[in-house]
Amino acid sequence: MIAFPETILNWFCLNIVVLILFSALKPEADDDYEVVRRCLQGNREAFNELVEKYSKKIYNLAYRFVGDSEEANDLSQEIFVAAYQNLKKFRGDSKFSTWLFQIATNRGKNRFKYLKRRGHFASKGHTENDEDREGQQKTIPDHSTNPETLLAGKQIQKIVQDAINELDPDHKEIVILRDIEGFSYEEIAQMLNLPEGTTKSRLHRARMVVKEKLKRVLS
Amino acid sequence: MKECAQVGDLFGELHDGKMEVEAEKSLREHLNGCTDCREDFKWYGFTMQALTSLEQVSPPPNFMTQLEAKLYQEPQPFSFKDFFSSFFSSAPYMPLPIGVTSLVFLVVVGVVVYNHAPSGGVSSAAPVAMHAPTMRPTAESGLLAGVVGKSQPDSWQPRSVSQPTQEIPPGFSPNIQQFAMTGTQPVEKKLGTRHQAFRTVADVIGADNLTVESPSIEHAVESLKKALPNLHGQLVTEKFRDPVGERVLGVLIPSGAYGHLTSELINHGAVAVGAGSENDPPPPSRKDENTVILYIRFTHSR
Repeated sequence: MIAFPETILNWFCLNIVVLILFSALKPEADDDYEVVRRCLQGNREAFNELVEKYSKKIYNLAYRFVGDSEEANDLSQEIFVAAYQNLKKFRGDSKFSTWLFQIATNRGKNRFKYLKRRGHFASKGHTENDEDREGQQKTIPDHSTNPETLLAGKQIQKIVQDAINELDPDHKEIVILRDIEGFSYEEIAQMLNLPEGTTKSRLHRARMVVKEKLKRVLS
Repeated sequence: MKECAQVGDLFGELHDGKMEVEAEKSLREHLNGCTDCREDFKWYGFTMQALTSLEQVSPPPNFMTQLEAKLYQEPQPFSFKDFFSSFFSSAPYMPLPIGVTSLVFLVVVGVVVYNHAPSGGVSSAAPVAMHAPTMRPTAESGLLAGVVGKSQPDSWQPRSVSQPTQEIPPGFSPNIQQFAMTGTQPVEKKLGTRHQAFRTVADVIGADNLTVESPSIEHAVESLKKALPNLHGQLVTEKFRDPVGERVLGVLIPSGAYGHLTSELINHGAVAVGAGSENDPPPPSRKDENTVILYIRFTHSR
C-alpha cells in the first residue's frame, strides 16, 4: 500500500489548473491561433490561408538565403511542406509565425550551406560582380558622396545580395531576419535560440562585413 | 586609433538612435573630427539603407498550385518516432508539461486504485483457464481432430476422473479440470504471485506425460518426429509395446514449446483422452529450468 497524502493530490490538482489556465490564456496573443487549430483538425483550406499569408515573406527570405528564383521557389515549398508535416508538433510555446520562420531559417541555412559547398555562389558571384562593377562605373558618378543614388540602381541589389551571400551562415541568417524581414531582436533570439546580446553583436559584425564588401566593390 | 575602433562598435546603436545622450554627443564630436570614422559611418548608413531597401521578391504565380501538389498528393509516411514524440503535444496549444502532468496523475490514480482493489485469492481454476486456450478449442468446438490428454504428474493414474470438488467455469475440458483438482502442487503455488513473469503452459500444469489416441499410430509418430526440429526438440527414446500395439516416445523439448507440441499433435490428426493405460506406465517426466523430457504414449483410438 502506497501512502498518498492529500497534500500531494492537492499539489497535482493545483498544478494542472495553473497549466490549463496558462495554456488557455497564451494563444490569445497569436493571430493565427484559430487558423492553426482548424489546420490541426484536418482543414486544408486553413493551411492554404496560412500559406497565402506567409508565402511572400517566406519566399523573400528563401530568396535572400539562396539568391536565385528557382532555388528560392524550391526552398520555400520545402519550408511549407515541412511546416505542414510538423504542424502537430507545434505546441504554441511561441507565435505560429515565429515557429514558421524558425523552420524557414533552419532550412534556408542548410540549403545555403549545401549550395555553397557545391560552388553555387562562387560561379554566380564572379560573373555578376564583374558585370555589376562595369555597370556601376557607368551609371554612378559619385557613389562615395551620394549613396542614395546608388540605391536607385538595379545593380546595387545584386551587389548587396552578393555581399550577403559571402557572409557565413550564422551572420547571414541574422541579417536576413533583422534587416530584411524586420523581426525584433527578441523574436530573432527566440527563433535562433540565442541570447539577445549575442544576436545584437552578431548582427553588428555581419553589417560591418557587408559594409566592407560594399565599400570595396563600389569604391 | 583605439578610439576609432571603439567608435565603429557603436555605429549600430547610433544608427538605431538608441544611445544615451552624453555618449551620442561624444561620438558625434569624434565623427566631426575624424574623417575616416565619418566616412565609415556614412558607409554604415549606406549599408543599412541598402539592406533594408532590398526589393521584395514575390513567389511565382503557380506557387500555390505546386505546393498543393506536394502537400496533398504525397502520402505522409507513418513514423512511430513522430507518433510517440507528438503523442502528448497533439493538441495545438497544450504545453508539454500538461501532458506529462496528466500522465503522472493517471499513473498515481492507477496505483491508488490498484492498491485499493479487493485482494481476494485467485481461484485454483482461474490460472488454468488463463493458459488453457492452447488446448481448450479442440475440446470445446470439436473442429479439430481431438485433444491431448494430460496424465498425473507423479504417477500413472487411471483415465477415469473423480467428481470435481471445486467449481470450474463451464466450457473447460474435463482433463484440465482433473489437473486443476489433483495436481501434486497447489495451482497457486505453481503460479507464484501475480507479480511474477508470464509462465508457460508446461510451467503451469507441470511437465508431464501425454497420451495420444490416434487411428494411425505410425502417422501420429511420424508427424511428431517431423515436428520436433521445428520445436527445437529431439527424440530421446522410443519404445514399442507390442502386446497392446502402443508406442512410447521420450522427447526433450524447451519448456516454452509445450503448447506448440500439443498443437502439433492435434494438427496431425492425433486424438487423445484420459491419462493412458493403467499398466506399465512410462517413466515420469523430468524438467530443469529450460527443458522438459516428456513421454508420449501413442495408442489406438477406440
